[in-house]
Order: sequence, then C-alpha cells, then structure tokens
Amino acid sequence: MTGRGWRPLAFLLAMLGFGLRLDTDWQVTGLLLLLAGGAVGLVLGRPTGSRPFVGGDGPR
Amino acid sequence: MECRPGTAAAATLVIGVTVALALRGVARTEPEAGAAGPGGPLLGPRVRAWYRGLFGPTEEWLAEAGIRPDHLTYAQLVVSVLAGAAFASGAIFLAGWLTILAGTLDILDGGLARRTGLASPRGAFLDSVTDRWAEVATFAGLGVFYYREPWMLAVVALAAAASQMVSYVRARAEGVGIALVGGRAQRPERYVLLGFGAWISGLVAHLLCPSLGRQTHAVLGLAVCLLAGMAIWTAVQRTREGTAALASRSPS
Repeated sequence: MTGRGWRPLAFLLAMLGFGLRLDTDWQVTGLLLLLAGGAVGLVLGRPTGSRPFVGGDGPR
Repeated sequence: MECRPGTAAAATLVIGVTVALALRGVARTEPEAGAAGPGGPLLGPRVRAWYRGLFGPTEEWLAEAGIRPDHLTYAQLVVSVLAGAAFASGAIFLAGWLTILAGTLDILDGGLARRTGLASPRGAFLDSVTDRWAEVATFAGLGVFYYREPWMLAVVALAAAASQMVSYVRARAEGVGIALVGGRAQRPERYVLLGFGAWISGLVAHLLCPSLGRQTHAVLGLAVCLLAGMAIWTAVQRTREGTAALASRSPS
C-alpha cells in the first residue's frame, strides 16, 4: 500500500484512541492507539512517489 | 462519565486539521457523474468521488489480501451493532466513530466488489438486507440512550422508520420498474449526519463539561432531529416521484 493509502487508517486509529480515552476507562489502550495512529500517519503515510531514473525533458 | 476537556481539545485539533486537508482534497477532485442540484443527495458528486478516491489504495490492498466483499458487508453489520451498543452505554464519541467506520465499510464493500469483478445481484441483495439490519441495530442503541426522554425517543423511532422507508420505497419502485435514486438523505448522508453529529456532540459534551458541571448531548439531539426530518422528506419525495412516474405510464 502507498503512503496515501495509510493515512485513512492512521486517522481511524487515532480517532479510536481518542474515543476510548474520552468515553471509557481504557486510558492506556486509548493512548497506545493514539500513538499507533500517529506512527502510521507520520512514518507510513509519507508520500512515496516513485521518481524516474531519467528525466523526461533533458537531452539523453 | 468523567469530564475530559484536554483530550477533547486535542481531538478537536486533530479533526480540525483533517477537515481542512479534506476540504482541500475535495476542492481538487473532479466530481463524479451523478445526481446533483436541489433534489440530489446532500453529499455532492465531488465529495463522493473524493471519499472513494481516498479509499482506493485500501480497496486495492484488501483485494490483494484476498478479502471478499461479503466479509466487509458482515463486518459492517458487526460494527453497526457495536455502534448501537456504544450509543446505549452513552459512549457517544465512540459511537460516532463506529458509525463512520460502518459507513466506510458500506462504501468499501461495493468498491471491492467492482474492483475484483465479484459484483453480483446476490451481493447487492445481501448488502441491502444487511444495511437495513445495521441501521436497526444503531437506532436501537440510540433509543436505549434516550429511553428517559420520551420526545427524543419518539424522534429516534421516527428517524429509524423513515430511514427504512427511504430504502423500502426505492425497492418497491424497482419492483415495478422505476429507478428512484434521488433524495437528500440517502444512506451515506444518514451515516454522516449521525456519525458526525455524535462525534461533535461527544467533543462538545467534554469541552463544556467543566463549566456546566455535567455532560449534555444537545448536538446529538439536533442531528437526530435533522436526520428524521430529512429521511421523512426523502421518503415522501421518492413516493411522489414514483406515483407520478406510474401515473404517466398508465391511464388509470
């Protein structure tokens, strides 16, 4: 999956973390999910656009 | 339930940034061909196209992982039951999150079916029936949440009945050969109204809790009233469209 594809998952994890911290006593689980969401968003969610080996415009 | 304004403020910040990024994404998206204008769905073709595009890579990954559309359909039912349970226990923010997740799974199953070539009348039938049960489960939980407030309980019952009627009218119309796809409060719109209403209500309840001394879910009440009104309007509008189409077809 590309970086763009991980972002919705990161958001869903973070929101689940916030939900658990707001509405339940599962504070540690909520925090872990928040950290997991942040990690997924920051590490895996970065753009991973493949760069061409050879530029298209210049002389070859 | 305990007041947690700090966590609510952090969640508001994250959601605010995400909404700003989403609006930028929507503005850059080419709209899908579909119903637009005053009688069309609340979420326009541009928003629908953006949301489908957002989950395109996820669909691809699910297809590669061997997940079948039916799995997502059943997962949506399970998540909707959990959303109902969360509403019933007063975990409103969590219920909103689960409602949005159920809506996303509902979109993903159709997308995955088309992507993998598994779209079939059987899948469409199963999806429609599961959707109705999923809505019943969510509204039942909401009813339990409001069981001490008769007026709100009546509004929830009305919203649940009208939501079922929107789909029933369309199904009956299809049975007599008429396609009714218009209306403001279709399934995605109902998910968004209830899910975001619960999300915002959960945040507002925690943010205002220290000054009010208790949690209040007025925003959720407003969202449910709006949902009931829009679903009734859509069901009536579709009925009128259907009867007009049938009247123009036969002389009697």
